[in-house]
Amino acid sequence: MSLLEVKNLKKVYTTRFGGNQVQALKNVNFSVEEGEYVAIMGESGSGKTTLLNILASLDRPTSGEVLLNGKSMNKVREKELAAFRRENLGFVFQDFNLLDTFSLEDNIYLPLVLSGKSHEEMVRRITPLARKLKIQDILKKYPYEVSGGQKQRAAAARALITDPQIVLADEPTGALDSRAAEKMLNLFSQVNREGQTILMVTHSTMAASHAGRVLFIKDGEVFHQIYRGTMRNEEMFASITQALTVLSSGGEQDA
Amino acid sequence: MRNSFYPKMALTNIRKNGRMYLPYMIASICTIMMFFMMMTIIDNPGIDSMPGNISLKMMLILGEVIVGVFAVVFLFYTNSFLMKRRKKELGLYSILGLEKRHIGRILFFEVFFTAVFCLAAGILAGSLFSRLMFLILLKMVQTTAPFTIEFSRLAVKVTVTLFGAVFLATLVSDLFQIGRVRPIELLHGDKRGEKEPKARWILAFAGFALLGGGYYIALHVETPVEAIMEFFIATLLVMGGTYLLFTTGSIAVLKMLKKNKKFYYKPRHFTTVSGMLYRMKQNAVGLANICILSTGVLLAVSTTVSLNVGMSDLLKGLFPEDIGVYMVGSEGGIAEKLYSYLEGKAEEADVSFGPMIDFTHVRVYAERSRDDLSEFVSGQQTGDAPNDYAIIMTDLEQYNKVEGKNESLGKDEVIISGNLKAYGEEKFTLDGRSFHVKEEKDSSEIVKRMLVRSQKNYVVVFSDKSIIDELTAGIDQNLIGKEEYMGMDIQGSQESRNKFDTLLINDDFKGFVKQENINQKVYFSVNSGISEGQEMRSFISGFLFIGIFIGVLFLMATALIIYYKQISEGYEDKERYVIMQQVGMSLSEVKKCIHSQILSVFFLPLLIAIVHICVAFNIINKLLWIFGLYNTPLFMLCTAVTILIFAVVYTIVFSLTSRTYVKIVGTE
Repeated sequence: MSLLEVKNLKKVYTTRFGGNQVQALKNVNFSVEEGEYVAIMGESGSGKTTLLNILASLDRPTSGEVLLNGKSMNKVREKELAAFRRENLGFVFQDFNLLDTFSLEDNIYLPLVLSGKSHEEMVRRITPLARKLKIQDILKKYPYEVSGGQKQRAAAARALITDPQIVLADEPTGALDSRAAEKMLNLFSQVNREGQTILMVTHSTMAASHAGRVLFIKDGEVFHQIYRGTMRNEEMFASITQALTVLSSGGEQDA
Repeated sequence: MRNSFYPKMALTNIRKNGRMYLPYMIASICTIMMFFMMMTIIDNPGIDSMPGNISLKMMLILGEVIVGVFAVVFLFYTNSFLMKRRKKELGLYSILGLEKRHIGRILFFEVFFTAVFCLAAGILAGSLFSRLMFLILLKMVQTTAPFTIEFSRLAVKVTVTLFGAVFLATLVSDLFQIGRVRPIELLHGDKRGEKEPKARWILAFAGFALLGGGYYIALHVETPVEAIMEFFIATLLVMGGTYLLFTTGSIAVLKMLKKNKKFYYKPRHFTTVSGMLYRMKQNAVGLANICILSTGVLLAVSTTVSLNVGMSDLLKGLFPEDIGVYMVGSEGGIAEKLYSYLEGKAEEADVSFGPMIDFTHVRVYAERSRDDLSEFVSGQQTGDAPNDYAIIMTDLEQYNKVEGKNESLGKDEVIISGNLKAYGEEKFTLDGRSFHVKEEKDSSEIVKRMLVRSQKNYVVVFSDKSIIDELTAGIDQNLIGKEEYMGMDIQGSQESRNKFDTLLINDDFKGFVKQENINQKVYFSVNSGISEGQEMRSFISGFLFIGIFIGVLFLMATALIIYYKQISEGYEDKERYVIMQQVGMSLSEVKKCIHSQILSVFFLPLLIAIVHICVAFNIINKLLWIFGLYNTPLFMLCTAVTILIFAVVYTIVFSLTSRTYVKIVGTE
């Protein structure tokens, strides 16, 4: 059984005054196995963010369903959604989404505090994580005092501290310079090697080339996918570029 | 660029920023209107023919000064709010290629249009409502004279000058701000990384100390004289303490909570403590302002309302009879001579006297022992120091006559009543001679007719006049006041009463002194309650008028500050809402958490204002004694009702403005 299964996902937005309907997702099907590192690529407006929001249970699909460990997210009640999210999912965002009012340490603790963990437990969990992400020296600082790369690593720590089933990353290198991005991506790869399932949405070829599999979305549908197999990052990069060229020149669906 | 570009741009800006601009304009219009109305009333010739016109006019001018000063500060303050919110927009213009002088020109037109519109609307509304206000004032003063209200050019001139200058000043400060910063800073003007506030313990303690000091004074004032002297100091201490506590005390307390890891890392406390820390840092001054304004409203309204509700009591207390004659050193029947002299005047004015009340007493000043509160030693006191008392000695015969009672006393027994402080002892000792206190009365007719109300005095009734003689025999005769009071009501038509009153006021009694060949050492004063009562009434009514006027102004200011605070909180919380949901808080949890923070932020000032009022109760009560209002339960009731109404209005303002907040954060 796959860790995450997406079946016939469809999302239609209706504009405020009725009338116009916009189809963000037409018919999306894919699955993610445990321990996989999947990147989803697509141009702006292809439905990436909508898909991620639905996977994150922040939004509900019009039809179709998302199964996590065989359990349908549609069946989780509204009241339990927050707890469900907290316990099963970890998030990393393009603009970090750290709260300015908390130190990095407290930002990382936030999901644990919400789950009612004891302070000793929190300290026990953060110590190895901070060492791994190389943020142990800046834990007491505030988001506005550190660089973008450091913020993103803190955000990653916040995503990982709950031992989530799956980490959802939305354009995690979007706001970083190339060196910080490279560092971040290596970190993701390392975390993935240690068994963490990651699903990343991006339109950076560089970011996607670190993944084990790349899905391409166009006009609300999965259009194509590339498996890494034995490819090195550079080869992966080349084949993604190729696929993107085909995609944007309007090639026929072949996946 | 075409010349019409800037005015058009300015108009569009004002419209687009309606959410910020509209309340600012309403506030400007209201302050202008109130200032203008007050000025119109002051400038009205009719005011000069009201009873007590001088004190009334003085009070109105004082009120106008308060309104004026407040208007300047307040408009400046709200304008700074406006600018802070608009920095991003102005930064964008800059990036789109408008130079600073162009932005300056746009701002000039914005301020110009705002000023012209607000002044026109304010003066128009003011001239409409000033008629009404004047009628209300006349009604309060209870004068029947007909007045017409005229359009006052002076009022227009003063209003336009003052507020024109205020608007000009806000423009200059806006331009100054724009001129100083770079576009990129303008763009991020309202979104700079905020440092976590530091706990400044020394200042926090200073705040506690100031507040404690102010409270101590307010709670320990015993006499009206002390109250007058110390009210100002106490007010300053409490104001300073309030500012310090809001700015540093709140942060120090929150920091302390944060240090406690067991407490801090709990779902409910975690977000609340850190959230409050930032809210308090950004809003402390605004909240302290709200708190002090609220306290001001409550004080102004509760005191003036109690004075007016208690007016008839108060006038009765101040002028027990229409005519009150106080005589000091009156030996040899001056009272009778004065009475017949006054009767002559009465005949002239066609009025007659009602039954007369009169009594004599002996006044000595004495120091009350600190160790034994029943022991007094006479001396050269003034009666104003904390342990100084005036001892008013009289005998049972007079007492029974005045009170219309039939009490009896043994030779070593006394009846005591005090004006400001209950006696509460079983013995009374003066210069070593002790008496048993047979009874203590809350008040007595004699106490009510004492000339100096602000002094603490005890009226002591002895069984026989000879005892008083014995007691005073050993005291320096210069320190003994032999006093007499004579009072009677005046019967006759209102017109002849007024005529009699005028006769008395215009008479300096020199003729009487000469004619009767009265000793220079004798002092007497004839007080007419007819015109003085009316003056007092007009004074107190004017007081209420100003109190409510300023109360309304402060309330409006409070409402506006709350509104702006809600808006700025809203913009900041919008992001927080989103992030908190993403890390796993449900929407309802987020809402609950933020709502409780908002509630505590906005109701803290009200709570503290109410505490201030409760503590101030004692000192204000003593101040009211000066006006002759001894009715503490009445004042308590008025204060309670004022607090209640204010709290309701405050809540309404809060819930109305919080709709804007909800709209901004975008949660249904």
